Amino acid sequence: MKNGDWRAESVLFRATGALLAGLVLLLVGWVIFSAMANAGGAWRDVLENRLLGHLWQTLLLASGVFCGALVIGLPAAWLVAMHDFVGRGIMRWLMVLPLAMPSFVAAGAYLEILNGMIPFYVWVRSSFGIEAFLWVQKIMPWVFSIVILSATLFPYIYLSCLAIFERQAADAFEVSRLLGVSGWNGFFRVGLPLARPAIAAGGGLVLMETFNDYGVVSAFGLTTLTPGIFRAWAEGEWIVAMRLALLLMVIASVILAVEKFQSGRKRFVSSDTERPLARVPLRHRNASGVWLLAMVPVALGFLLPCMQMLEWLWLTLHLLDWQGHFSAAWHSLSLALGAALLVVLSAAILVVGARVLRSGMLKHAQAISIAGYSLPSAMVAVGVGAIVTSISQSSQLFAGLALSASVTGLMLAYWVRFMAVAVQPLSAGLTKVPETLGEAARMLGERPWGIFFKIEIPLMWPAFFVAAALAFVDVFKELTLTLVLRPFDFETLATRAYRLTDEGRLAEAAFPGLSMVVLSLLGLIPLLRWMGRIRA
Amino acid sequence: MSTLVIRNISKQFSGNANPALRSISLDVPSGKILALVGASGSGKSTLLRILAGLEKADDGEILLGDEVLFSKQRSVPAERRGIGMVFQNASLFPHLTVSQNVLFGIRQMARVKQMQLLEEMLECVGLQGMQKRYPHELSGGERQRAALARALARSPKLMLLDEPFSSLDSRLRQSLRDETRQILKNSGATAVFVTHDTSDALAIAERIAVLRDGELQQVGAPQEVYHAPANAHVAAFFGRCNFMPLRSLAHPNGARMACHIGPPGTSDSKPELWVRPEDLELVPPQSEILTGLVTQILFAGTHQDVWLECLSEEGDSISVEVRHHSPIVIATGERWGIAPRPRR
Repeated sequence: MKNGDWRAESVLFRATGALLAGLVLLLVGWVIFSAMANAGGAWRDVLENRLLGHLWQTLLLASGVFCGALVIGLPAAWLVAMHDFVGRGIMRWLMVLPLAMPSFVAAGAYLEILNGMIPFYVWVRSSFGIEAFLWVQKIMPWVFSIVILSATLFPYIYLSCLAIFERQAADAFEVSRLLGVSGWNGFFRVGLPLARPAIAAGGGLVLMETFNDYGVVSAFGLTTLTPGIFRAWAEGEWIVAMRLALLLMVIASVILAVEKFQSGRKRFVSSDTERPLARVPLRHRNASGVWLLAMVPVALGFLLPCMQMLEWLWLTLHLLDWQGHFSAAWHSLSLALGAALLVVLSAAILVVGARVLRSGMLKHAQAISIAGYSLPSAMVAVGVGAIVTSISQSSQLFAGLALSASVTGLMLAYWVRFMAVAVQPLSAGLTKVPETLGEAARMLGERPWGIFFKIEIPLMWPAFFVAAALAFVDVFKELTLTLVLRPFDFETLATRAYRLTDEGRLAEAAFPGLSMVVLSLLGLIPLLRWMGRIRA
Repeated sequence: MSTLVIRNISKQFSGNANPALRSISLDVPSGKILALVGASGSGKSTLLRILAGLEKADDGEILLGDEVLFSKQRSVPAERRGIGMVFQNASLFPHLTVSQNVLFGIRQMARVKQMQLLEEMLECVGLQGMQKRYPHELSGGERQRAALARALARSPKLMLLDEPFSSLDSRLRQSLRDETRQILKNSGATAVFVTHDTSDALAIAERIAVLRDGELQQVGAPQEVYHAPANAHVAAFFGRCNFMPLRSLAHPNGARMACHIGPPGTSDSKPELWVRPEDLELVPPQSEILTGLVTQILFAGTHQDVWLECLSEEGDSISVEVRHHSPIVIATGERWGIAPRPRR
């Protein structure tokens, strides 16, 4: 059903799509190509001594975090969507709070707790012997890592399951109640099957974030693939780094393929009924139990780290290096704003362009943007880093632009990595705008740009805010890409917090850490308001 | 002059086994209203969209007046065809007021002219005073009228309407239908509207084109299409029709009167009479006329629909439907004679 009428106008749209797709393909191609070069002894060393460890640690961490996030997020979404109890409305958005806490910032707070566990170790040793003590000491970092990542990432599963339960489960659940199936039974027989695509979607995000995590695992000394890639990169063993990155990408692709398979097979007729869902009230005793349980992950993922950092901030207030902090904050803000703008604009071009121009090419570009999101951060980092370095080394002209090349590289990396974050809400918003409106405008003499600006965009405003907010928060909290690609002596709040934590100056890391939490919270407000607009 | 000429328009969507449109040709005289009718999937909406320029035909020609809108060599883009279109559920822009909607297509005119046209249009469709309202504040009928005003504001030579009344309830439909006809005639534009509702077509249109599976079955005035259908499909489409394996139908007074509407031409294989239920009446049973047993009765307010089981000359069982207007009460199980009802 292509039209072919607007070839001239579509140039900008298709150029954007082609640029993005080209970048992603170049990136993947570069990495694959570099990985095929001769790596010599370094690779053999990794292969024999470290690879297996990287692999099973990555998989173990990923499974642990997935289970943890699932066990927290899914029941929470069910309870909030389907049941009525005191303070339900508040809990609904309270559960989203941990999204504002970057995992590695929480890790810093928990490191302190880990360090303070010596009396516990002593007790274990004296009660259960040295074997038990060694074992406990070994698994503690794992326990902490899994708990922290689960507690900060579960909102992804919570939100996607909540969306499905609130919109589509209403009818199914009401029918099942009339047929005598409710409560736990209802959850397992109705809720769980309905939630499968949501679990797949949210779970996919959780797994991607876990693969990409660097701050938490390095704080607790785990050696998953991402720190392995970093290490190789830092040691100058680029080919080793590329190969490890490729391996991570393969694992991530397998996970995403499974997720797609899970969601793709089910098509739900979404209920258009606007009548409010009749929620099952909980008895007070059960309600207090629910609150107690729900507060555990929120405390672990948000409240406790915040409190620890506030205490540190109070203690170190007089020591603060204000200039360093503000410079880092300024860098964080400008990068996040610039990247959010870039990402949202290009996502708008792709999404709306695909609709107005009915271009299949643009739809493919959308798919490629999602592929960009699925590339592990470490891989995007080393890929873009290699490309930018090669370009700046290849000519004198570019070498002089080292700094700007680096920031450009960083922005390009953000673009590739975070396009999908804007594309999803924008496509969702666009589905609410009937196609006939654009056609009606066309019959009244309007051309593509006119339709774009006068019809589609004004009707999609809320989606723009959500997309911009999500992109802003994600870039703001971003650590991995920034660590690798930033120019020399250029810090963001994220890298600063990481560095201070790494250097053992935990208390001083509180200020950048807390600033990130506060700014993330502000960035989340449009998301929370959008949640509120969906009838609760 | 804005005569619409459609020649050999064909369209096949990739991925579909059957073509959506097979070499459709028809004309709409300037200022007349044509109804495109057919079942879902007959291709009527596709043809309308091709006329609008929202879809491109594979082959054929479209001329409006003396301008070529579509041919193998060129195709004028939809936004330049100067055609007004009213969509199924009005498709008013929800974020704009009624006046902003109506003015949307005429922004390039002088401000004074715009305001003048706005007043005219709103008065023409009966929405005076509603300028500042938003679409969600209007009723379904008001929305359709606003959509009409918006399309007519540009003084189009051709108006296209896609199932304009299908989203309205039946009482509203009638009044809006008549108003729309009046508005269209006043504007002088040539109009094509798509509907699956035959009563809309019969009431408003001056010409009706019947489509089936992408093929044109018949084009003609409403009376023609109703009383002289080209084939059984058209006959059944516009109303109930009995297909009786009989040569003729006798009247009690002995005469054999013409009351059938088909089949067209002479077909000597099997005799078949096409008779509409309203062209039959119930009479006391007699020997030379067709008689039957009443099996079902449906009260329809103005009349009763009565079904009778009869026997043909060959001994086959025929089910005949008769529209019974007289106040005589009919009961199931009774024997009645079926006679042609004169058309005078």
